[in-house]
Amino acid sequence: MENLTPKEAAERLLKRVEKPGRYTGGEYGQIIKDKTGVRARFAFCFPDTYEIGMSNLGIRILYGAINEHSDLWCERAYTPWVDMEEQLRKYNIPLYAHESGDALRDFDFVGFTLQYELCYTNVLNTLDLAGIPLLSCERGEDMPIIIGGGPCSYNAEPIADFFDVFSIGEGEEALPEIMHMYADMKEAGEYTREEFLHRAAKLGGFYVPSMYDVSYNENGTIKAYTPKYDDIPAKITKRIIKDMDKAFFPDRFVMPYIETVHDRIMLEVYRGCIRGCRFCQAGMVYRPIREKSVEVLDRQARALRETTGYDEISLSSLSISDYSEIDGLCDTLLKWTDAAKVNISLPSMRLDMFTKELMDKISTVRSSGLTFAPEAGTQRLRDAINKNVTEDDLLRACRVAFEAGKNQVKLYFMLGLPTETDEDIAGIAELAKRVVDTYYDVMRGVKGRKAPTVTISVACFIPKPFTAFQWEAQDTLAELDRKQRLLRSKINDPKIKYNYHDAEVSLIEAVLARGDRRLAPALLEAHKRGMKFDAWEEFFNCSNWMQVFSDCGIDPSYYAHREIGEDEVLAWDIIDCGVNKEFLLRERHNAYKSETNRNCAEKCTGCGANKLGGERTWCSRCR
Amino acid sequence: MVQPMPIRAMFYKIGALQYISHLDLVRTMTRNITRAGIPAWYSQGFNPRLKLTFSLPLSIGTQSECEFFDIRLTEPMMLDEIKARINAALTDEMQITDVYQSERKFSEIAWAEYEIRMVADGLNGSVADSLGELYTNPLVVTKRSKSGDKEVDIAPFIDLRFCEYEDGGITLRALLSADSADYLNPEYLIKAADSKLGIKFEDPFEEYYTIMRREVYLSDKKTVFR
Repeated sequence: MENLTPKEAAERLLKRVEKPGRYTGGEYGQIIKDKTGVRARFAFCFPDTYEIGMSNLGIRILYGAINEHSDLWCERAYTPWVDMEEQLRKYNIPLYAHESGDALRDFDFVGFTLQYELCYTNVLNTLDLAGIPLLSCERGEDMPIIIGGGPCSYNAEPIADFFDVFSIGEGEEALPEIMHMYADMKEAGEYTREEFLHRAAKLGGFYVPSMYDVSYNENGTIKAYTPKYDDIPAKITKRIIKDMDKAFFPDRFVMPYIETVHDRIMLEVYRGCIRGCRFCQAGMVYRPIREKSVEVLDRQARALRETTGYDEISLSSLSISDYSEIDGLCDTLLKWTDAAKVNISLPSMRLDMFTKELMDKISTVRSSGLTFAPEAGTQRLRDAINKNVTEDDLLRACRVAFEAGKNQVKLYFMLGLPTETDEDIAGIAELAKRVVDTYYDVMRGVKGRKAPTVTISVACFIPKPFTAFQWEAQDTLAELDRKQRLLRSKINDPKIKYNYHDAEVSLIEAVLARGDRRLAPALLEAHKRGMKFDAWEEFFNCSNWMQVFSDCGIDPSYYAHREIGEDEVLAWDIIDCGVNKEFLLRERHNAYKSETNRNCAEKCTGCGANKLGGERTWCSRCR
Repeated sequence: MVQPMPIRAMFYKIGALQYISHLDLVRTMTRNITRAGIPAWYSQGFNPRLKLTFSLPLSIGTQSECEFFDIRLTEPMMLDEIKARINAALTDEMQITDVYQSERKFSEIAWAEYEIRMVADGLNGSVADSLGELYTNPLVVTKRSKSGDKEVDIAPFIDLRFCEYEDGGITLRALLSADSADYLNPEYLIKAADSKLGIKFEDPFEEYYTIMRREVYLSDKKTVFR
């Protein structure tokens, strides 16, 4: 074989795989640097396919934020699909980064974004394809530092043994900082893995699992996390960007040639969420709310339009209609977007904020349907989860949509929420029925009206760390099955379509979401048995997981179906995400009383995240 | 309103970009043209679309030096500037080589010339001769079409111009029918080499082939299409 880079070698295989454009790189907007002229190299790895990874805004931001530094180089890598994996393994080609084509194992850092728990087997498989030892303790001095981040890093304990370090919170400033520390140590001849990790643990916002010993009580619960050195923190406080107007935001994107999931401009409007839905992890861990100003957003949108040529701008945030200047932002953008033939979409609209005025402004109206998330079927349960929307809100929003000519509405619900009764489940069917009735009320006397379609999409509740429901037990598979059937039996209108999530998937997600370090052997075993792409229906197999747990002596129910004691040490207590445990406990007890709480725009509820600071926060307005 | 001025761009698509499908090319070129700030004409209507037409689609795995697309301009712009601007919005493996006005329709393209290079174990001068024979005599292959698989003699659609063993492999040049009714994908030549002469491409590092579309012609096989 000639002297080829891994990527050049892989290109010889591209006639044999589907969607070869996943592996070619070479996109417009990719950043190429002279590798001899940079001090540290970072391979940003998305542990799923190219099409999904390229759609992630977080990676786009961090890719730009690292590459802003002329002495650092960040490249991209994705998990190859199984056909390409087979070829790479057959010809012993190590996984490579797209820009340079160099093997991942030759980098200084390999970073993984952990967006969902079911990517864990892919993380291991990706490391394996890269020829990097899976366990942190088995990596030699010449191996890259494996760093994780993203939402799952708030409880990364099940995969702690496979990572050297986790970046907790927002990485725009943290990642260049740790890379510079690394380069300084290398150049000063002070670098060893142990010394580097020790210093990283002191840097703030970095969790180095190997620096903490975990002990357990006799009943199996966690006793304590003990730092190995006196000079490292007992708790890792997450990093945030204080001023979103001054934060790095890319003015160009890497432009994929092949179609990706979100192939458009994604404009991040603000971070955090004012709502306090008690099941929602994102709503807690991204606090405090920090908004960008309309002026900055307009500038960023114009720059991206020029450099990308995209014809759609998606205003992305957890709940876009909660942006304090949403009308002003839409009006400012519309001054130029219409003439430029650019559409604006608002993908995360709350139904109580959905108005005719807003709908007229945006292009979401072009599609025939709209999606709302009441989450629960009765007011009592919606109050218990602090959703703060009423049936009237929903029917009013649907009325607006129907009056504008829509005939399809999709409604998201959850089954198995804490305090749920069969009455709440029946309420889902009744609510859907009233949406159908609302359609016929609006369309009364209209000739040639179409039949409406109301789709109810029902997920299973998963207790997540850093939520008011983090202590709750998940329903068993049998109970979820009973509830799914019960709901099915209540729906007798063909205009109501009923979809529900696979409860088995939700069970595995629950185990991994609240898991601890004792799950590592199971993950390793799952990988050894060839399990991968668990987020893909065609690969997920619950009985394989159950077999792995059983063979490793792990009871999945301990993690998923057990109510955790309020005085127990939690696996994620080592992380301080800003929101404190006392607040979450108060919220848990409010849920039992079906009592709602205010949102941040109305009144501060004392979650604690304001201690992290921040500009253009609701916290500062309340202060 | 002034009639939007039609212009044609000729470009190459080589290297890794041979793996980008025609559909993906259409979508990304739309963005490239927008990004380049070209005053391109949009179709009218509820959902305006940039009016962009391509010549002969290129299959995945085939490189080309002579691809074309047409757009229309809503306001005048120097042709050289259009070329420079679009090229700045593209990468090295796809660049515009010329921008001009043309009366010819894409449907006038009748033949495309390909250069195929095969490197595999056991290739030599006499294999090259056999290949030459193969492509100049009746050659029945199973051709896939929308209406199902069909046995077709593809010889009338092949005009072999060169087939020699050189530098450790076989180089061949041929005009293949590019007429919309009888379009012949160059991959059929590779398949025939395998099925009739047993030329295999199994180890991708020792045995491989490349295909490059070099030129396109009108039905007389002489007049170059532009």
